[in-house]
Parts: sequence; structure tokens; C-alpha cells
Amino acid sequence: MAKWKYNLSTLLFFLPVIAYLIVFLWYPFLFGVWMSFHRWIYIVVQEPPFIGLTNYIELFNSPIFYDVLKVTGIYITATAIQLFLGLIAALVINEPIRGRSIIAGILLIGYAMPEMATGGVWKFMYDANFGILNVFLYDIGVIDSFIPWLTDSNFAAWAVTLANAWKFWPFVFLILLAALQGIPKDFYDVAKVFGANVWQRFIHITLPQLKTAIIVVLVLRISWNLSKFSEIYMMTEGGPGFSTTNTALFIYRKAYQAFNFGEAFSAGILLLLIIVPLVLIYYRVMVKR
Amino acid sequence: MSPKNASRLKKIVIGITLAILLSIAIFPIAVAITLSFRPSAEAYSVWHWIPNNFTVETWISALTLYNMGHFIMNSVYSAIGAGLLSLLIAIPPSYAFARRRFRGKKLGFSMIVFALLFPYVLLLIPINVILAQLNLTDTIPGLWFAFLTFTIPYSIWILTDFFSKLPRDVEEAAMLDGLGYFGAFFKVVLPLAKPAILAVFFLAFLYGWDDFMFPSVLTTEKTRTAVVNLYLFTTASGFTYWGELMASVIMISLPPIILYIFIHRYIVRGLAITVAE
Repeated sequence: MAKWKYNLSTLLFFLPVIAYLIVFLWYPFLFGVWMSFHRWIYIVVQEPPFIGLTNYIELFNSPIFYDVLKVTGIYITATAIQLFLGLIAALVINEPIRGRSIIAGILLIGYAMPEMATGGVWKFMYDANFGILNVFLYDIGVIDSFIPWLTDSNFAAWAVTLANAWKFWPFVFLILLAALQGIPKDFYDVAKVFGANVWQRFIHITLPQLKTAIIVVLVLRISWNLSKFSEIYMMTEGGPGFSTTNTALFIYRKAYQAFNFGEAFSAGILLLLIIVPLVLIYYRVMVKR
Repeated sequence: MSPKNASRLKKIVIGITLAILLSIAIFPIAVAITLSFRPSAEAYSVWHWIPNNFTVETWISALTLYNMGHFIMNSVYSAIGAGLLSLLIAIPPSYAFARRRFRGKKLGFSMIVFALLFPYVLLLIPINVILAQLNLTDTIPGLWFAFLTFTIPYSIWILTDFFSKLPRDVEEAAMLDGLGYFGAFFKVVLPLAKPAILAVFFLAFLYGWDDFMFPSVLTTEKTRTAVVNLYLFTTASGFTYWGELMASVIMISLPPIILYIFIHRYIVRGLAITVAE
């Protein structure tokens, strides 16, 4: 086949996806960057005036934005719980136990549920008057009176973080289980022959073999936890005040409650800058290997 | 410790760990189920697991008064469309990434996979504007285009890895047998890629079904998806219709769970190849 024919046919494989990504991913992105330098309040404005870095400056001058960054920091700690539970579950399910596929299925139910749905359930569990968490903690004597977990700004950010941890740990479990099943059985057989115990096999075979999967899952989870907000929205709408508003929800509220699209997007660009280091790690692991 | 004791200890540790993990996973779901099968008023009393009066009245009022059926059908259309379109658009480039030689392959793949880490809330506003210009706001196809921003990079990531780990000789043999390029692809490669294809479909379906961000902004009552509608059961004053909310929570969680039950073994296999070294 002639070289130009080969190249042309290769291009055909990519036409739909390139067309789609330009229109719906890269153009919107550049459009948004442009927007962040303009005063764009509400969608119908015809000629938004250019205001340079004003949106960014306003953002850094507003005390709320620092609260938002703090909430964002708290919110991504969910990743640690997700990794912990996901890894343990994957190791246990990878053992030859009876009914493992049923058990694995049950562990994954929460992941298959919509965030808005789990948000609704957690909203009840945290409820100040009837919530099961208060009932339980009161019964075992940890608290003397019911605590409004979602409306007390001391607890609210941690409460929504815990709900996120519960919602997405099965994703970590799923990916790590898949990675564990990809480890050749002979590795363990050989190690057993040489007398390696459970712990040694874990440290010298399982962990190194899981390394890539763990890094991938961490990078994906951190960046996704950074940009998730619908579960929080269901539980608190980001309140009280801004005490459960992470950066993603801040952008949403700025855009669709305050209708300040320009400032919303400048916050978005800052969120993107937080994610850049993750992109670099991801690149090293995924593309260069 | 004797080997027999060691293996018994191992069994006990595994059993306890499983029990804890299962209770963590089931607890909130059990709360939702039991709340949905009691009269509305009973949710506002001292917590008890077993309903005093068993009834499905909250399910009925969610379906009739709140018209959840309509919104669930919207979710069905938008999620199935997102799944099928993701496959249609993502399979050709993934196959090309895995099999064909061309310049800029690495760069192209990176650009697509990086999109996975993109904060999607950034795209919401511009996509809202673009869809408005195309007259596609408040339509199901408009939602498809929005969901695909995430599901296409995700699908290409999984499919490319899967295709590149399929042995080449199978399709070369098929081509020699006279199946031709497309015959080999459709009759040999695609069936072999079934686990990855089902995994991709499921994950894209799940995204379309679960996403709140896009439909909350891009739709009104006509094409609003079910998850967005959950928001109606809580009010600004802080009052929540717990019974109706929980009935709807279970209603809209069932379709993805059932789909998952049918294809879960493919999902783990499809993902296994992607994340294995």
C-alpha cells in the first residue's frame, strides 16, 4: 500500500474523535481561558469588557477563596481512606474464598449508585434530629447531645469528606483487584518454594507489582476528588456559608448562583494549576512506561 | 506456629476483615431501604430499623406525585446514548493507537489521556454556551455531547491498552485467511475485546446516569435526568421528604446495579489488562 494511502486511512480512524474533542473539549477550554480575562456576568452579555487579571486579583483578595482552598484540602484527604479500604478489600478478595464474586459485587454497590443518591442517604445519616450517626454515638456514650454534623461549620467539611470516601473507595478496590489478578501465580509459587512467608511475599511481590496501579489510582482519585462536588451539593449546597464548598463547587456556585462566569473560570484555571503536578506524575507512569 | 494454625489464623483474619468491609458497604444502603418502606411521617421519629408499618406509599408518591418515571426514562436515554456513542467514537482511534504506525502517536495519546484529569467543572460554562448556540440545550443529544467530554478520553485509555495487549498473530492469521482488514477487525478483534468494550460501555453509562453537573445546568423538566430530580426532595428551609427521597434513591440506583451484576466479570477482566504491567 502506498505510504500516503496508509497515512490517509490512519487519519480516518481519528477524524470523528478529533472533530469531537476540538468542538467540545479544547475549544471550550480556550474559550474559558479567554473568559477569565473578561468581566462576564450572566450568559447574555454581548461584548464582555476585557479586564485583564482583575478576576484573579479579586479571587485572591476575597477571604472566602482561602476557606474554599482549605475545604478542598480537607476534601482530598478522602483519598487516603479510599486507598486504605480499597487495598485491604482487594487483597482479601484476591484470596481463594467462597462466594468471592458475590462479595466483590456487594462491596461495589455503593460505587454503582449515583453520587446524588448516596449524598441523600448520608444527609439523613448526619441529620441533627433523626440521623442514625447521632443515635449511634449517643447510645455508646461518645456524645451527650445530638450534633448537627452538616450545619455546624466545625464538622461539616469532614462530614462531606467521609461521605466521599465511602462513595469512591470501591473504585480503588476495583482497579487494585484487577491489577492483583494480573500478577502471574508462578511468582508466588516460586517465592513459596524459597520459603517466603505471607508478609515477605506481600512486600517483595505484591507491592512492587501493584506500584503502577496504586500510582494511577491515586492520581485519578486525587484529581477526581478535587473536581467532584455533586455529593456535597446534595448534602449541604456548600453551606453553611462556604464551609463545605470545595474549589469545584465554588466554580459552580460562582457561575450558576452569582452568574459571574469570568471569576468562576479564573478559579477554574487555578484548580487546573493544582492538578498540573498530578498530570506530570501521571505522564511519567502511564505514557513513558 | 504450625502451618495448620497459621492457615486457620489467616481464615479468621480474612473473615473478620470481610465482615467489616461488608458492613461498611451495606450500612448506608440498608438505611435507605428501610426508610423507603415506612410511612413518610415515620422517618421523623426515634430511629428504628424495622418499620412499624410496612408500606410502599413513598414509592408510589415518588412515581406519581413527583413523576420519577419520566426522569428515569430521561436517564436511560442519556446514559445508553453516552455508552454507545463513546464506543462508536473511541474504538477506531484506540485501535489505531494500538496497531498503526504514525507520527505524533505519543503526543496524541497524551493529549487525550490528560483530559481524564481535567477539572470538568471548567467545561460546564463554555459547553453551556456552545450548546445554546447549537440549539441543543435541554435536549438528550446535548447531554450526550457533554458527557462524552469525559467518557471518550476514559474509553480511549482503556481500549487502547486492551487492543495493544491482544496478540497480533490472531488478526494477521485472519487476514491471511482472506477475511480482509475489516473482516479481521469485526470478526476477530472486536469479539476478543468484548470485556474491554463492556467495561467501557458500563463506565460511560454510569457517568451519564450519575452526573449531576451537566444536566443540572443544561436541562429543564423536559429532559432532566433522575439524579438531578433528587434535589427536589430537600427544600431550602432544610426540610427533607426522607421517605420519598429514599424510595427514589433506590429506584435510580437499581438500573446501574442490575447492569453491573450482569457484566461485572467482564469489567474486572477488561480493567485487569489495562492496569497490569
